[in-house]
Amino acid sequence: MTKRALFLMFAMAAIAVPLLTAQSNEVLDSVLGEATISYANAAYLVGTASGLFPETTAPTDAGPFLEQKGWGTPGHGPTDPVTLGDFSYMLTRAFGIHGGIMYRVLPGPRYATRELAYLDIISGPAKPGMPLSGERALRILERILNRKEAAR
Amino acid sequence: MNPLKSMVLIVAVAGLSLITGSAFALQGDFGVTLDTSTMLSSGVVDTSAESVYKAAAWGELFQNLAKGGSLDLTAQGSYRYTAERPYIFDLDLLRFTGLFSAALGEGTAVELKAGRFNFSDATKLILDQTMDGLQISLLFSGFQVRFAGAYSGFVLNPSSNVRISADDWLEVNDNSVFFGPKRLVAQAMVGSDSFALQALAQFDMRGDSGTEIVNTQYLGIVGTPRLSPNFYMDYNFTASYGQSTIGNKTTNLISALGGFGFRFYAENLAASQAHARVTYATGFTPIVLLLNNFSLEDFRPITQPTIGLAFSPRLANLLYVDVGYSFRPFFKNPSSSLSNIEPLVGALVFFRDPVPLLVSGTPADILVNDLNPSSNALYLGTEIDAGVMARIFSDLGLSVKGGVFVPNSSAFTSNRGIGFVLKIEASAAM
Repeated sequence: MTKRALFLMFAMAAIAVPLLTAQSNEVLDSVLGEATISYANAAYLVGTASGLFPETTAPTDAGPFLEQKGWGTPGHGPTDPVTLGDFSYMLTRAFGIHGGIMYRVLPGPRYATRELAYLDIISGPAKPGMPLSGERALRILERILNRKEAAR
Repeated sequence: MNPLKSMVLIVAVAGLSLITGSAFALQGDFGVTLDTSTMLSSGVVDTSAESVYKAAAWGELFQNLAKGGSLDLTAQGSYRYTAERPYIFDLDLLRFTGLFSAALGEGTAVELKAGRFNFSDATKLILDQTMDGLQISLLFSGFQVRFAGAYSGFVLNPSSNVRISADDWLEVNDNSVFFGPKRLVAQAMVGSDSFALQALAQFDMRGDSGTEIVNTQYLGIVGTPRLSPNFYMDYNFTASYGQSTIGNKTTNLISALGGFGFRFYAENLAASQAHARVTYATGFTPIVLLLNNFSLEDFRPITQPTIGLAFSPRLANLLYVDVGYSFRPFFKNPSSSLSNIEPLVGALVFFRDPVPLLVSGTPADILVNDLNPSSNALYLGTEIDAGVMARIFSDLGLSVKGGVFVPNSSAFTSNRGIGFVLKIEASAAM
């Protein structure tokens, strides 16, 4: 899929952010160019899509904002790579996805990944330790926003 | 080299190449599953209503390849308890999967599987069994070509559903037999969901130890074309040919299997699913074509499918109508626990194959214990099923199903009354 198509897809899906700012455009370009998404960009996507902070927030501030809320991954620097499990765990907390029995007993990336795979939010291989590309992160975010919209 | 050594070698080489080739990017996962299936029954004659409790541990190594391809090595071992066999330790799965995208050009892929995994035909009425072997699928846009070869002789006897010859059936409940029947199975398929041509063959490897050696071959068509956004048609037809050798005498076997029906699915009607299907397995032992040792025989699938809950005769000399409906009343509910509750009802109406009676005046022989030999009745009885399936959480599923078989009293001896089965299943993943 081209960068432009992905960008349009995300723009349409980002119902919580009706008008994307110049900054969010820059972040999306940066996200799409990442073979492995960075913690700063992942936190920015999760925070803006869930409505925790506005899209004008600097990506470098996104991680700490998420961590204050208890949704982040403490110990990650802004440029550190984020795995599929890390991203899944950010999403389940930010979007209030409760998960199965094991997720409730042992909340973490492992069972967050399984939950999102079960809900078809993650398609394809879903191993918690997998590197996550920026493009795949956007697809996952699109599905979670569609699900949120359908539940309204 | 014997087949077990070959299989172990293939999987070991695949696993080593997976690890040594790209250890730095290898992904792993593991888990435990617990499954229970509790059966309560009364008046059931043919079905072994046996409760099963199973704990399984699995592990997986995974490696992404270029263009969406992947390498995957998955293994699962289990412990299973039944009242008949309290200790069954089994290797359920040991599978290497290589998916090579664009291997035959853009929009294509080649999938290679090796090891122990499930092999099935498109209908699952002829073959549906875990075996040891190799499968290669060439995936093109809109259709695929698949070739597979497998050996069934290293699957534990209680885990094997390969039952073709009289010797195979004698071993079903024989605790002294460790492994299931030895068969080499070959399979080829080309086509799509709408139309596929498939061929299967199995070769009996008992050698001199078998009292009857049976080889069978199957050639058929199968498909589920979409007729409208909500309607699908189901069809399959398979002609089977085989050779039964007892001592020095070989009899050629001819039989057939056919099915036709419709499926309905409407997500906007509370995810309603309905189906109506007729399945017909021909072949009739009493009429033997004396010329050239040809016999129109019982249809003999490689593995026996489970047809009903309370009445599940062998798929031979049988015609049955299967209708069912299920829906998810809370489909739109945001709670996935509620939205995945699915009540279901169904019915199976069983008849003997009518052709022998019409052709020769002799009714077809159904392979059950208590058929009334003096009865010409075609109608055998009706099973009514009802139940609820619920995926309470992503890692916990429950299902309760009940089945009642009301026999045609004139078709069976007086021993058979109404049969009841209640099946309660729970499945948890960790």
